[in-house]
Amino acid sequence: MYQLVVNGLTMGCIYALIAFGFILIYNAVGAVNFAQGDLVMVGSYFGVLAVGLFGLDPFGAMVVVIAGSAAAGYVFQRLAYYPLRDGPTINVVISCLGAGIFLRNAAQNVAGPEPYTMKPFFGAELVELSGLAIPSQSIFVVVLTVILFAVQYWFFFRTSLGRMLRATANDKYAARLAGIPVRRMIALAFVISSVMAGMAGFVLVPIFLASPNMGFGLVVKAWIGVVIGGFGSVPGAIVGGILVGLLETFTASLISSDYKDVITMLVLLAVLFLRPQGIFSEPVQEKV
Amino acid sequence: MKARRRALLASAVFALAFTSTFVADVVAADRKPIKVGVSISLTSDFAISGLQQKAGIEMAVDEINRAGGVPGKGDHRPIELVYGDNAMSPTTAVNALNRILSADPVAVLLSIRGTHVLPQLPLLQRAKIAGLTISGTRKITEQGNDYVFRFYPNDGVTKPILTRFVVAKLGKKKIGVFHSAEDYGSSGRDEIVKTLKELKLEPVAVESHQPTDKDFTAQLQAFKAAGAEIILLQTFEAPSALILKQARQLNLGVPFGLGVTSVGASALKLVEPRDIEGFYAETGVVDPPFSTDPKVRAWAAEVQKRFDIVPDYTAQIDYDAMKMLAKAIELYGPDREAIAQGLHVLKYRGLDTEYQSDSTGNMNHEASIVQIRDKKQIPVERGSMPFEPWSKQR
Repeated sequence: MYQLVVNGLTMGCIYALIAFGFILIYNAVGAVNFAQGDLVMVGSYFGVLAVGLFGLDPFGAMVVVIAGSAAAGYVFQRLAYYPLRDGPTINVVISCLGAGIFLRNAAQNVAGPEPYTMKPFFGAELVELSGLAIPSQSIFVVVLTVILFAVQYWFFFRTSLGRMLRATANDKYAARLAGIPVRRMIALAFVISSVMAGMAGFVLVPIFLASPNMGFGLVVKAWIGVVIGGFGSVPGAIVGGILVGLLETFTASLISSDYKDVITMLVLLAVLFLRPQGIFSEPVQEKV
Repeated sequence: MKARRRALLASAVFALAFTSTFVADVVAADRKPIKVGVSISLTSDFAISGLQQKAGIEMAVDEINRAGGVPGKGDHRPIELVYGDNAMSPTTAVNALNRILSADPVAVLLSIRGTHVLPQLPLLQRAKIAGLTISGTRKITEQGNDYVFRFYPNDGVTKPILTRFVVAKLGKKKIGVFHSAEDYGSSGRDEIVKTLKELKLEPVAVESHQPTDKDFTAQLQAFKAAGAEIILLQTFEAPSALILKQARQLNLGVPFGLGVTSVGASALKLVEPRDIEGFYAETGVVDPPFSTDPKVRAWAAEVQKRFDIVPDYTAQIDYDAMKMLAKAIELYGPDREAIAQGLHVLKYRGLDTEYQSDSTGNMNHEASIVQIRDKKQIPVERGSMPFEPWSKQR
């Protein structure tokens, strides 16, 4: 049972990191970035490049992943969001989808279709704990997720830049009137969400391999986590992501692997029927 | 008189010019390339096998064209390949085949993915064009379609040979079945379960996974809880590598009997030796670099030199399929219907496999068991299934 919790938690943390990126972009520009999974893939390839080609250790490679993902996030918003920012939201959603397809195909053309693997970041692959064999990389994923969310919390609630970002997310027009550089704040939101996705991709490689299409399955589950947790809510994204990870693992183990995704979807439908705003969001009120 | 001579001369020049143009046209028509369609995955995760198929097919076409082309009435004609990319989706595969057919090929080489070939079958039937596949999904040749030819032994050949080996030679009685939840995986599962029934056994657990899944620990623990002595696995390269790794990390202590996709060159690149050491697998042909036949190993080295790819069983069998197709074109002419009829009756010896159509278009009836040692395939035994040759009176 504890083994299942560990496995479910690892997956859940990855979903939570991706889900957080969804929320950040949605709050900043009101559109869903379905290329978030492809930014996970971009981060994983930066990691593979840094370790495999430049021979960096995992922590040195992390710097490359953060820098590369930040740059990718900035370029992404300049090309996929910025030119369409004044049009209907659906244009941005479609543009992000298109950019995701571009990233996947570019990765395949540059690196080939074969997946890449990487050794775990620590020497010992397994950690024995009370009879449980826990992959050291899984522990790293959970710890890193906690650290990243703690840093995010500090950044958003304890720094003036974070406050400006929150103000932009709450009301762009009011933020602009208050002298906040809204355009830069939106660019920053894309950069942060891309870095979170990239880090998720990098820590995933030793567990799940890097491949051009790795983001697709992840993004669907992260999206379910966002809806269950509460659309627009950061705590909701974290809790929703982790719940989906645990739900998948326990369903596959205790009920049936054949119906794992069916049951996850049924839970999603149940949440939409019974509490459409999700676990953490407030019910939508009509503005007067 | 002078005028008459001039008229005669002009007529002669005109007649000569006309005749030479006509002859040139005829010769040009005879030298016109013969188009062969190729509907495989050139992009997406499935391109891992698609690029192997491409290397095998292009190797065969290079050899044919370097030798002057396919001999026929009049002159030798070169082969020209017309590609369509199936990517990862059956809908894309259907669109790819439609585009290929509009270029008027004489036959089409198809994907290794049964999920792509199955929806393409009605198009082949309608266009009366032969489709040559290397997919193992059994039901492809059970649709009553006279235009599909399978060059890889189907799951009805490979799975019984592996299952019987596991029970009789390895002495395993508690068998788990782990498969991907789509046509390829369920086809393998059905054949394993059927063979076990013939041996008066039931699988102790049957588990599945989605092709995009990354975490398989729940299923692996279910096998352990069910007391499985061996897990027979039928899935694709990347999930297979992850399953083997996660099984080791869980200290599962249960060996695997593997499907061919788990032990091809592309799959072996992804696993650590300790994840797969000593496990047995079924395969239609031993991967060319590990063949006991020096001729096949030399072929593999040549493919690697030319295409920068270590060829696996897909490259070898598609090479054979393309060569046999060229033989059919040579014998029966570049005509769709004639080629399809010819492939039903032609016998062909490939690099190390004998191909002959059975009553439903299955061309290959042999399979091997290999053991993995230091990430190499070591041939253990080879078996074949009896078959009834094709007959018009079915």
